[in-house]
Amino acid sequence: MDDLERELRDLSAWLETPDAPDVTASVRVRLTRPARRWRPLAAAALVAVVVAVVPPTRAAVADAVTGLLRFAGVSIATTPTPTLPGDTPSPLPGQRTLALDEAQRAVRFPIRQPAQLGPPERVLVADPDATGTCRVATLLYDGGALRIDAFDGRLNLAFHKEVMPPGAAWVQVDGDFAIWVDGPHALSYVDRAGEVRQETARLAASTLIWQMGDVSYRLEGAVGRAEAIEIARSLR
Amino acid sequence: MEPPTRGRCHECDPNGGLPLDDDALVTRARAGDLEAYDLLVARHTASAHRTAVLLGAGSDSEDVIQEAFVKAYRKLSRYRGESSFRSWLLAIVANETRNLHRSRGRRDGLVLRAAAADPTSEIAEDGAVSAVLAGERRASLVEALRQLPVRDREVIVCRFFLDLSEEETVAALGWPRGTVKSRTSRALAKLRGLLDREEVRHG
Repeated sequence: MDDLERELRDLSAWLETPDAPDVTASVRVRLTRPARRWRPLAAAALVAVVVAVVPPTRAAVADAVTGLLRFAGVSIATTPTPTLPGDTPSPLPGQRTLALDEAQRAVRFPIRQPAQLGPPERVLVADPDATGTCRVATLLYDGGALRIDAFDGRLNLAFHKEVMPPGAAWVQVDGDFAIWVDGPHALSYVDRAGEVRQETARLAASTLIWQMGDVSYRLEGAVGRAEAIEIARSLR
Repeated sequence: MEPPTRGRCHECDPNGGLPLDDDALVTRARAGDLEAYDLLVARHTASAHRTAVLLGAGSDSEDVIQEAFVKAYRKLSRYRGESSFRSWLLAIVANETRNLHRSRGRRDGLVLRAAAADPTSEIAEDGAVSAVLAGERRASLVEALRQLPVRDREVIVCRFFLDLSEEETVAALGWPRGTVKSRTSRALAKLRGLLDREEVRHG
């Protein structure tokens, strides 16, 4: 090998190549659909694809223009400048602590528990309608450091997140699509009228969002992606 | 990256416990095992992406490799295993990159890391001087590469930047072996010429 060849090999390390994106999920999504010729932008691919995968009533809708992604009752806006929540966020509207069996009677969907974590330390329900039926049930673990919010997946939006780029990543829980938001982000409650309740805005830890049998879940806490997925898979 | 479903371990052979090689994964993927294909995608994303970037796909590299992985899956039955899965895949990436150039009418050039022109001040003075010289040399090399005809640059990228063997370059670029050989030496000769001229100009 002469000098120029050696120099070229050495140059290789100095060439700017951005970190490789993770395309596993997006490739998989395209492979599970019938073949079609198109060359989409990555964001546009998500729109078409996710709508095809989940039933339309709880379809995830990504808006390529605003960067807003809706999935499982959660909207996710990717913005370099998230609105920072205040110091003392309000709890979800009408939130109260109940025993597990009372909580089950207060919501219309089944409350499932992750086998991985066992029974919760506390159970909360929130946002009752006129008949007292609540919209959200929350299981708390580790003194509240780890929480699972469950809400009816057929409902409209229940939470709004603002995340910094790169924002949210597609992952899978038991072969179904899920979203992983890595790192702290602003989280607000979206009430029945579709209003973002700014007073509930707080800084949320890393979160996994998934759906199982018409119920939407968000798991939040100091756990890594793999661990969060394991917990999600253990819901019974 | 993490395999999305840790419980069902496809990376491991259920009997031997060893990671499956590409050929075994290809066989499974061909039979419709998408999780096996996920693993192939994850395993080869980095080199596919680097190939697309170095061949000039720039900010469209993600689209290019996504398209390439989808096409590769659909063509999997035609992969006969004469070359490695990697070089067969890189051929598809190279082809997709060419399609991209055709559709948008430009290709993005090679970009040197900022560090190349900015040796850290902690290096001793002699070191700093030679680092500056080395940085300048790299910059003129990149400049010379930019002036090469496309096919010459492609063969340089494959042989020296992606470190593909002659055989793998044959597979990746889809040229006859003789063409790869002659094109490589011609490209190197042209580069030498361009660099000499550069040196003359700078004294």
